Amino acid sequence: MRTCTPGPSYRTLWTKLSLPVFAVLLLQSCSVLSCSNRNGVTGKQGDPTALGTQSETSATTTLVNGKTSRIVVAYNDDTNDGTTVTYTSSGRHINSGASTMGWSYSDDGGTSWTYGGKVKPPSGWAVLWGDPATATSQNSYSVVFMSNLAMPNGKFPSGGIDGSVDPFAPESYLGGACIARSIDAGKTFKIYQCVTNTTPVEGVGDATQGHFYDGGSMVASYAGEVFAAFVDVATQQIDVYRSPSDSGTFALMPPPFPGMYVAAHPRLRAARDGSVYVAAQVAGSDGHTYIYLNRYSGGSWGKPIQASSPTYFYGEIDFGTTVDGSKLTLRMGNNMSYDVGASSPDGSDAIRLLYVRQDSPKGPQYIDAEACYADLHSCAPVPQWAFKGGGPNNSQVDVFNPEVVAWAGFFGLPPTWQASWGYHYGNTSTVNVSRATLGYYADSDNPLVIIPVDILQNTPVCSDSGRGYWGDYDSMLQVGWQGSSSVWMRFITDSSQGCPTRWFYLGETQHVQQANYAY
Amino acid sequence: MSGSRTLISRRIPGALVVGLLVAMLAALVSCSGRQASGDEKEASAVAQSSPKLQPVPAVPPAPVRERVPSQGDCAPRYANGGKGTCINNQPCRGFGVRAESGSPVCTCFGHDGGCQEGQRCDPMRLACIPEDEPPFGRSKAQ
Repeated sequence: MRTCTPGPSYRTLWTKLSLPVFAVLLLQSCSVLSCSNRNGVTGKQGDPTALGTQSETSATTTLVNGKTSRIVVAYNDDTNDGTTVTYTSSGRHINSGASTMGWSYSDDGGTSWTYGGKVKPPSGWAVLWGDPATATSQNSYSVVFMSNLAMPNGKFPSGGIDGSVDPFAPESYLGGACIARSIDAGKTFKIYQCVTNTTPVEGVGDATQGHFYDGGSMVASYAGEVFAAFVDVATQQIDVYRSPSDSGTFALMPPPFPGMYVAAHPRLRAARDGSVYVAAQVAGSDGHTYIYLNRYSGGSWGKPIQASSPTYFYGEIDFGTTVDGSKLTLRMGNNMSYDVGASSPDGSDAIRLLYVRQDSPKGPQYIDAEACYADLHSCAPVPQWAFKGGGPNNSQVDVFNPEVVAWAGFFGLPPTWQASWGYHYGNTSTVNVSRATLGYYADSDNPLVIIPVDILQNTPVCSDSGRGYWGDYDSMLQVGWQGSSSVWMRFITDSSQGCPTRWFYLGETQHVQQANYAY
Repeated sequence: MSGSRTLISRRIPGALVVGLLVAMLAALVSCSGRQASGDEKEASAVAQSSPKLQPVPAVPPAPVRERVPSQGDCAPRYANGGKGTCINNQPCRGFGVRAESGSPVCTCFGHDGGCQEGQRCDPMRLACIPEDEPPFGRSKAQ
């Protein structure tokens, strides 16, 4: 971990440079090498994305021409020309042809960003409707996939949709998902394949027109396969699609959680041994929900395992304040994240999971932590990695959107486990983002007690007034190195340009920002 | 350091030196407030041998049983505009499944009997929630 403390090199500089130059260098070294730094991914003046909103990210890295590292970030892209989606203070109208499948990319480690545009709905599909997921092929780092939920023509009303796209779940105008592919490392995307499940479901009248899919997660396995997963709200299952390669056909796999009621956005992750994991929320017999994991290895799913204590998802944080005349709230998504990476010698922590809990309806929303063996024969709580904070003046701290990322290490560079999450306290209209290491005290078996470090402070929130929407999830990934330290990038919605509009379905400004740090 | 002082005094007015030093100090303080702790800097990604972890207490998943269709016209209408089901000629705030005995029973994802009056069974949260609450924890319509 780099620090801001001036070392011997500064002493040399001191004798050679004038003080103003030295001061500038010192400030730069602090902001670039040690402290976090942020910038806007979308929404800059003059950028197409300044016209509209962007939120809810999924990011990946690719390789351009085999040498330049590129960061690709997809988001719910409501960069809007005003023809396909229109808003009033209380409503929203969606026309056929609308797409929120947009992305940006950076070839300089996140210093500058280029808007990639939007993918248009393919033939047979009326609308592409967000919940982005991305994955880079492990066979070719210039091949990258991006998925969005989709509305088939057959479910789309001729006059368009007014208001909600899923007013009476498990029925919905949504009826599948579309996967786009880029073969130029994320500069351009074309629709690759759309997937839908039309199996009849008792009590779900529109099931044969395409089950209501929500959420989205993609991963490329180290065996060359590509996976995409969505929660099937019609069947309360996770539908996982597998393509045998980055040029194959996605086909529906057997359910990973048979005999269970499953909900919330699934999350896929890949292990170095070629196996793939899926996580989702499962209804317990005690009325609570629990995160379950399953592993795809050797051509089949294993036995699902309970990997958490009771969870809290699709909740909201009440900021205790108002913005533009209405109560400021923030809606949560699935509120969990995990990864597969370096494990202790006994293998008990190859999977590390953070998730949000709430013990009482008005109580704090806090992070709990678990660790699991790679073969999923056992999972265990790690209380030291949990985080239940208290704010100034006994104010309640509520956390949201935890992200966990493992880096496996490389030629003498040690492996790392990093985590980040957003949090709010007090009667403010802002949130902070913290980071932490999921590790152990040196030369011991004692998990490191989490001491969060802010990487983003007092970033304003402008959710819409009707849903509290500000993006249901964020992305975090390792994007490169600074010396022997990894650079970690966390995305989050950006309302720093103010909050001039808070309508039922629209909160402006909402763009995408990133904060990164070296560890 | 005397050489440095000479360097400074030769090139920069004293007031500016003080101002810049304050700015540098502020930058250092600002940075140190956001740095990792000493323990974290020395931390390892993995334990030395085996961390002492106790397995999470297991709770069986809610049983999934064969669904049965809603029959009759007694399905309750929810305040959000949605509809429940009619099971055994009784309003069901949930859906019908076949019990071990073979007869239909109203349930909401394992909560047999379905949801209480004023609630609906939400397939996104797999739970009973206030019947006027929109999906995904969204706020109520204006």
